[in-house]
Amino acid sequence: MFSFERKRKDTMVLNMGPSHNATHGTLRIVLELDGEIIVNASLEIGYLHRGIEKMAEHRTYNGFIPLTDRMNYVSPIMNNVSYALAVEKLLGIEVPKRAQYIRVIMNEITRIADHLVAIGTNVVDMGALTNYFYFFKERERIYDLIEKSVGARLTTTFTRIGGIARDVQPDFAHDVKVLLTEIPKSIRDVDKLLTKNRIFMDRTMGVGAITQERALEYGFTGPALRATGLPWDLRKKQPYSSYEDFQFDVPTGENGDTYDRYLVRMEEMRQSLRIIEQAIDRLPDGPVSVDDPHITLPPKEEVYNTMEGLIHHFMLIMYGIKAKPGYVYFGTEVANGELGFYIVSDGEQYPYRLKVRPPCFALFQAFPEMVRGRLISDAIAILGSLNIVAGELDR
Amino acid sequence: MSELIDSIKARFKGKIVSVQEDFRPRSIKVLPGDLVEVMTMLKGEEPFRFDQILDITGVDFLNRKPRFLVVYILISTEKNRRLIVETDVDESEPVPSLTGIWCGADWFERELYDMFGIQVTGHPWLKRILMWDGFEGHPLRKDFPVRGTTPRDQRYAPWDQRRTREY
Repeated sequence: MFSFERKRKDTMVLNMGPSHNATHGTLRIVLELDGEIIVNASLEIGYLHRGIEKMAEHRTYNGFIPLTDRMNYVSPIMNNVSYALAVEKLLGIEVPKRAQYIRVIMNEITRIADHLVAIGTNVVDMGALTNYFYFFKERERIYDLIEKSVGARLTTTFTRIGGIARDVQPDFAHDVKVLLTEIPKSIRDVDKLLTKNRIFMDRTMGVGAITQERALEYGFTGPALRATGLPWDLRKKQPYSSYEDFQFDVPTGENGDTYDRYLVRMEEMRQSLRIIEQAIDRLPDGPVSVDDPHITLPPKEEVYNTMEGLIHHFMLIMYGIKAKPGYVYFGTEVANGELGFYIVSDGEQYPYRLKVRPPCFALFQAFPEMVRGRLISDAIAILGSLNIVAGELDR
Repeated sequence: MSELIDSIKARFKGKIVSVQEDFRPRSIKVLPGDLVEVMTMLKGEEPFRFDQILDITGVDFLNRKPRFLVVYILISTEKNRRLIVETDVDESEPVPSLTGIWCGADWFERELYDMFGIQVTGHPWLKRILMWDGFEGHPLRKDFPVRGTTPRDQRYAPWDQRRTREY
């Protein structure tokens, strides 16, 4: 529900959204203005609510993976990996090293894609169109690679419980290395255009600043929290999926403003490239899913030629994976912050309850506090720098 | 038994209803009446320092009494550890609001109310957040149907009477 009360009598009310070209999704912001200065802001969300959590209660564990694509549609693979890791934690299994490394590579590639979109659209809202083209060219390259190895651009459904859907193509290493040489060029170009740009600095420095204490209280995670100066990154602090094998730095900002969030995202892309480089050089051989007939489907030759293979295939398709009664909460570091899954199992093939903890939900809550006293054009810059994705916000 | 659970047990003698250590993160269960006191100490006191609340959610056990389990997922960025605090409430029973401790609890509690119909006392503005105003029922309750449609009146804003159109 939405309500709006003017704080003062002499102000003007301006409506933004639910369909506004700066919101990049369906969310509604109502601003109370004194001239061009924002006195108060009110938010309404829920326009993209599809009831994913309710649907999850009537789907098998593997059947929920396609729905995770539709949460943060800018970086769907990270959602797939995050969900698969949560269920694997519930089942108490660990996937083979090769699957972990491929997950890390794809994860970091999509992290770069997400940051490219976040920065590109953020600056295009502020009137800098060139950077958008530099970045979307690279994003297209990334999506070509994802399409080649997964089969889809956006609706990837990349993981399965206990591994990944299928092994990557034979020339995967070559394709990734092409990306590793091309992406830094665009990052360098945009860096030259923006980082020391007087206009961009004036538009973003000190805009939407939030202190570390407030950010922690609001439940900020990811680049928005790191921009306030706290080096909190789950990949470092609570490593999962072999992140402890790789060398990378956690960039932090100082002021927690839009400019720092931009700098943190730029540096994170470079660090992601470092991780990809290490992972692709050390990519081990071997299977890409666990060898457990109760969790992963057997190969097709076994299904057609052996009795056990046929039975295992039938049982998995008809009855799904069964987890022991219990609960798990597992959070991973996605592009916007901590994406967590809280899953309660009652021993049946469907999760009894599945709760998604989207990073945007906590970030967007702080928006009224961040825009108060600023100009309308600042509100656009702050909204873009928080990278609110409505699909994840509303689920 | 972990060091964290030991120190919690020592600190909150008699307030902890039960402890679960088999699952991750570990969880403690308290009574709704003790929730604010326990949470304030978990946030502020030295061995705990759970400075962030990541999520608040509920679980509906339809045939159990009390019916709902309310789950608070905490993390300490200082000590790098997680904890889940649970509490049992029945259908008509409220839980206290934690917005005075973490201001970020605001929207999560609104979602809890929206999805489960659990009342939160002391919340500054407890209204639906994902569903629209005037929606009947609470979707994540187990007795709410999965399929079906709900007609929606086309009222966009309370002050905008021109666009009101009832189906």
